[in-house]
Amino acid sequence: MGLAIDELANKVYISSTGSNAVFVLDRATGIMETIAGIPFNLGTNIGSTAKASKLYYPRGLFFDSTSNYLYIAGMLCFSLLTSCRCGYSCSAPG
Amino acid sequence: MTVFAGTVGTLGYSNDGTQATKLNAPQSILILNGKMYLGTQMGLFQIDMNTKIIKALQYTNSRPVSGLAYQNGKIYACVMSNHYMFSVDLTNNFAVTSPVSGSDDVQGNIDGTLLQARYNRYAISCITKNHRLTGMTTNTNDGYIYIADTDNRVVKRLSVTGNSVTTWAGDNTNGDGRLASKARLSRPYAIAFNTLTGDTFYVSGNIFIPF
Repeated sequence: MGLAIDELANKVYISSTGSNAVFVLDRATGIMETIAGIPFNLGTNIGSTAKASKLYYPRGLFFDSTSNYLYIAGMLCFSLLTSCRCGYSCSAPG
Repeated sequence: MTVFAGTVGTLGYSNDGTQATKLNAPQSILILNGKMYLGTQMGLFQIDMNTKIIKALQYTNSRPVSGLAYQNGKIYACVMSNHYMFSVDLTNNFAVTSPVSGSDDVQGNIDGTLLQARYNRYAISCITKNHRLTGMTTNTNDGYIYIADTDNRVVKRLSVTGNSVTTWAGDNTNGDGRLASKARLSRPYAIAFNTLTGDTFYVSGNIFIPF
């Protein structure tokens, strides 16, 4: 489980370690949707988009307000993954 | 989605001074002044955001670093399953104080001084109210480090300058609650603050709850 907040956009990112997905809650609308991973489908296939990728035990999150990237600690895929702010278009860091 | 560090599906270890191409179970992340601080199964590491060169700050003998907080030049790291927190001084050649609170492998539920305090099982997440806005403003920092003390079913807060740890939310039982100070939390895993709205959040099991 992990939490990160995009304060300016008023969104909360939630990693669900057991269901292998990361969700975003829009505090203004109350709508929550999957932003990364395919819920209840664990894997290590990194696709072209975050929602097309499979995650394996995502845990810690950090939203970098400088770059607008969300960093996901993929505990059991042994890597750090990045995805840009929900609703924004941006190039990949590094 | 891209891979920032590590190799997907490959457990490994990257030596100091090399690029962080292999990691072991990364769990907690904090980005500060162009550096990423990363808690893993092996300990606490620093990764340069531009070069991705890695540096080990503290090894924990395969006890995962599950939460990170920043305050007054120091990184505070929670060690999951071993009930303690250590600190790394970024302004003094990465000097480590371990433990800075709790006691390695000694569980309990005690409020008191930093070293008298006891946590149970996880102490899985820790934050300060301003850590995501460091460099922009610090006026929302209330001086505390907040700790999701999972198996005690409470959130504790720690004052370094006051040398004290107190229970801030939860009363060590399961179930629903109302006021945070009286809430009955079910194993809080992660906590976060929105410094613009003042909202506090935590995640408990599969339940997401705004305080």
